[in-house]
Amino acid sequence: MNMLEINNLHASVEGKEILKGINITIKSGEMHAIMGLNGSGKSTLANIIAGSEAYEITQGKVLYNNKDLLDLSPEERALQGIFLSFQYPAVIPGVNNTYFIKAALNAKRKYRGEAELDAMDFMELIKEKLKMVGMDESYLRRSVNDGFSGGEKKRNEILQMITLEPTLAILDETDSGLDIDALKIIANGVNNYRKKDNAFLVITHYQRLLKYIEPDVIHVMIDGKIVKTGGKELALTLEEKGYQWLTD
Amino acid sequence: MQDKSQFETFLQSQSGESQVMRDMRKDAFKNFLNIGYPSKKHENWRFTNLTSLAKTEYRFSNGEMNNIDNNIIKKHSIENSRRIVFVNGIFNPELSELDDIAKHVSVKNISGSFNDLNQISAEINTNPFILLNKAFVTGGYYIDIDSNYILEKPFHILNIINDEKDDIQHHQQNLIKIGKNSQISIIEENVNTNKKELFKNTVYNIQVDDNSTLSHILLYQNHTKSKELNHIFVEQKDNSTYKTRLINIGGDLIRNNVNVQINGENCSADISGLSLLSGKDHIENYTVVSHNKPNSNSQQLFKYILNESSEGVFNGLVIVQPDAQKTDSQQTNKNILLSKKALMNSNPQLEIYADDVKCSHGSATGELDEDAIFYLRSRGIDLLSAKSLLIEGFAKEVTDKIKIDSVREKLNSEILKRLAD
Repeated sequence: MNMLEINNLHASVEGKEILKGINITIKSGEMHAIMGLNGSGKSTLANIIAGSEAYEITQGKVLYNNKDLLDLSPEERALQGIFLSFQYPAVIPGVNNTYFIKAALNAKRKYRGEAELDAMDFMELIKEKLKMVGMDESYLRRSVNDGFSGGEKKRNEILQMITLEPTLAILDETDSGLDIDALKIIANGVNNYRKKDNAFLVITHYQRLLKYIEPDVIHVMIDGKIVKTGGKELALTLEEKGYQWLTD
Repeated sequence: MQDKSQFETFLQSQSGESQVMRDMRKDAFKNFLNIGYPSKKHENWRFTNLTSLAKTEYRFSNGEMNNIDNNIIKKHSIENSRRIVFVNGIFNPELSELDDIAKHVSVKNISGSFNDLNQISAEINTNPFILLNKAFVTGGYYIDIDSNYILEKPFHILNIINDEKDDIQHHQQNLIKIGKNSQISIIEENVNTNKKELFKNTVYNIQVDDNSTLSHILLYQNHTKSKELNHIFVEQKDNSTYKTRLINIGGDLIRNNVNVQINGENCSADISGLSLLSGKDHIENYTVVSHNKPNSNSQQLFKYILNESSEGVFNGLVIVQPDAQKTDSQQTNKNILLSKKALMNSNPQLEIYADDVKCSHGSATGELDEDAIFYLRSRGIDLLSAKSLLIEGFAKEVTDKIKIDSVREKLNSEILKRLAD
């Protein structure tokens, strides 16, 4: 069974078509990457999979484990194992970061029929996860992404990912704004989480991240369409030649 | 609502009062008849619809202490506090916990001390509600704290109205005097068991002497039929600190008027409010903070959460008198509209007559952040819980100012409960 099947997906915002017929199939255990310049529609695709209501789906289907994904609310998609690491994570002053992650984890546990974690058990768990992304405990006392630098916000996304343990993780430009050390830590976090029963969709326009997180398949997106699909060598080709040769 | 014959009847029912008192009432009522209720043409009352108030026939509350249902006391108890109980404006010593501190703290009925009201402000002769209060006052508390006294546990004033038959009006005056170098914390809770309409008109006179600190939390959980007007007059002397938190949850017509005269140097005034409105609730906060001496600071933070067809008003006036150099004053009003029909009027004002000051004011009204809601939902948190989290987070800036854990926690859960409805 395919984990994710996107068939001929067309989407618009305010009447303007952004996705012009996207086809992707992702199986368990696979790491896919989508590369493309800004404005190609990569983030739109990521947000639509996560359930954003900002876009109009005009054509096409998305199946998640053979079920219609577009029918589900964002929270249902998350509970069924989809996770989006946002390009621009929301800042939520007044909502404590720990409280938020615990609420999300317990929502998932409850959905799976598991017992919810109390404050103490959760603290033990989160402290372990913090170490894995190189964050110290002060982040537990702060409000969600409030006053966080760009890099800190991205780490907070990966922290949530390794805590919530999704089946399909979509990383939207997770590498942007990161210095090389932070990049390595994040890549480590992602690689350590890879399993044969989960899958990744990594979105980026630099191939820098893909040196550390090696994808099985790379798709190149230009102007709302996937113009080329290939193996991980495609990244090097793009680094040498840029994106222009694909539209010639 | 109030006419001459009602006044005469009322006057007769106040048997045993001094002639001075009776004259004061007559004078006040005469002035009220001349001035009348404020109309929408009055700038400070232009959002206040007083039609229903003026038309309703309210019986005067009977000025007697009816029997208290012990369940009410239990339901409203706060651990680690000293309880002070007033029923329909009358002090109930048996239910209050003051014996061991009687040497430093005097709590009694206000009657007889009404005269103190005359020193506060010119407004007392021109404000119709204060005139009504002077004419019809039937109770209230007089709390007098010694100098050099630090109260080790907060006071928990249970201000109970349990005159339950009919639509009731109740006029109350409360006086708090704190001597020098003293510290006191008060949590005042209004409890109203009347299921019909209640019109409560209260005037507070608060005096904070040199070097003293007063923290005053006013908790109002009003049901949809209550109309409450509170006029809170505060005078601060040198090096004093005054903190007040006005918490209003619901209410047909609620208006808090806070007037702080900072008559000392190196004073600190911290005035905050949280208003939670739904249905057709209407809550107004009018504040006046006057810096009359140099080197003092004031801060105000008022937050409103408005749902359905409710309406909120915030008017904050900060006056800095010519002598009040080095004043530092901040005023912030932030509001969240949860529905298209909710309405908020925000009017911050500054009148600055000194030239070496730091004053700022800000106002922001908006809806819940859609990006934040999607972010939370993308983590598996359902829509309603996501909205609650955001609203809780918004309210936190004010509720966190309540340092007494049990009160703050109870308030937070009350807020959540109201949101779930």
